[in-house]
Amino acid sequence: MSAITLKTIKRKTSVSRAKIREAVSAAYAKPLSTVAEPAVVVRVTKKDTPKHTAAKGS
Amino acid sequence: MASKPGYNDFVFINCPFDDAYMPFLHAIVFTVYRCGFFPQCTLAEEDSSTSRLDKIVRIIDNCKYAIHDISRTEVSKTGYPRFNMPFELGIFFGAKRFGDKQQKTKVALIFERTKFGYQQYISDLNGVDIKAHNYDVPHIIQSIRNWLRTASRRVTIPGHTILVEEYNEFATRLPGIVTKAGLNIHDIPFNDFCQIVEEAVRENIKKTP
Repeated sequence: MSAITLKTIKRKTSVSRAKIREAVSAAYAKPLSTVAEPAVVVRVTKKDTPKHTAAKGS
Repeated sequence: MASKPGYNDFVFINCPFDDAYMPFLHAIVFTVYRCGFFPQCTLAEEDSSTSRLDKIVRIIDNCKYAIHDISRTEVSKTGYPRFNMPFELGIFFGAKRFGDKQQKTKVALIFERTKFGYQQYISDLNGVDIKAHNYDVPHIIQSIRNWLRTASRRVTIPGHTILVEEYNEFATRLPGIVTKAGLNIHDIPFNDFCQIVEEAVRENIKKTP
C-alpha cells in the first residue's frame, strides 16, 4: 500500500511550527514503552478565547 | 511529502467543543489527517470582525466532506437545547441541495450517540443513514475511515486497525509533546493541536512500508 499524501496549509499557531516539529520528532524518537500513559484530559480551545478549567480526572 | 489541500480534501467538523467531547475531537482530527484529508472547523478561525455564521457558511462552502455530530442536542441547565450542530447540518444539506455543480458533490457523515436517537427531535432526517458512535473512540475512527474510503475511493487510506493503533500511540505521546512545545496541556489552541497532529502523521507516514 502506498502512503497517503499529507495535506497542509500554514496555520496561525501560537508557537512556531519548528518548535512543534522538534517536540513531535523528539517524542516519536522515544520507544513507546518508556512513555507514561496520559493522566489528564487535554483541552483544545480557540486561540483567542483561552479557558483554564481543571482537567477531568486530574 | 505534503501538498496544499483543495475542495476535495477539506472536511468540515461540526461537533461540540466542550471538555467532555475533546477526546473525540482529537480522534476525529487525527483520523481526518491520517486519511490524507484536511480538517476545517470554526475553532481555527481567529477573525473577530467576521460573524460566526459567515465563518460557518464559508467553511461549508469550501468543504466537500463534513462530519456532523448531533449527539449533544440536549436540553441544557437553562432548559433550552443546544441546536448549533443540527443547524449547521441543515446549512450543509442546503448547500448540497441548492448549490452549484461542485456543491452538489458534498458528502456527509452524521453521528448520533444511538442509532435512532435523532428521531426524538429531528424526524426530518428519517431515511438518512445516521451512524451511532456510543462515544467509543475506536468506533469513531473506524466509521470516519470507512466513510472517507468509500466516499473518496482513495486506496491509500490505511485500514482502521492501523489508525486506531497510531491514534493510541499519539494520545499517549501527546502530553510530552505539548510540554516540550511550551504549551499548556489543559488549553492547547486548535491550530497548534492540528500542527501537532500533522507532525505526528508525518512520523507515522515515515513508518508506512
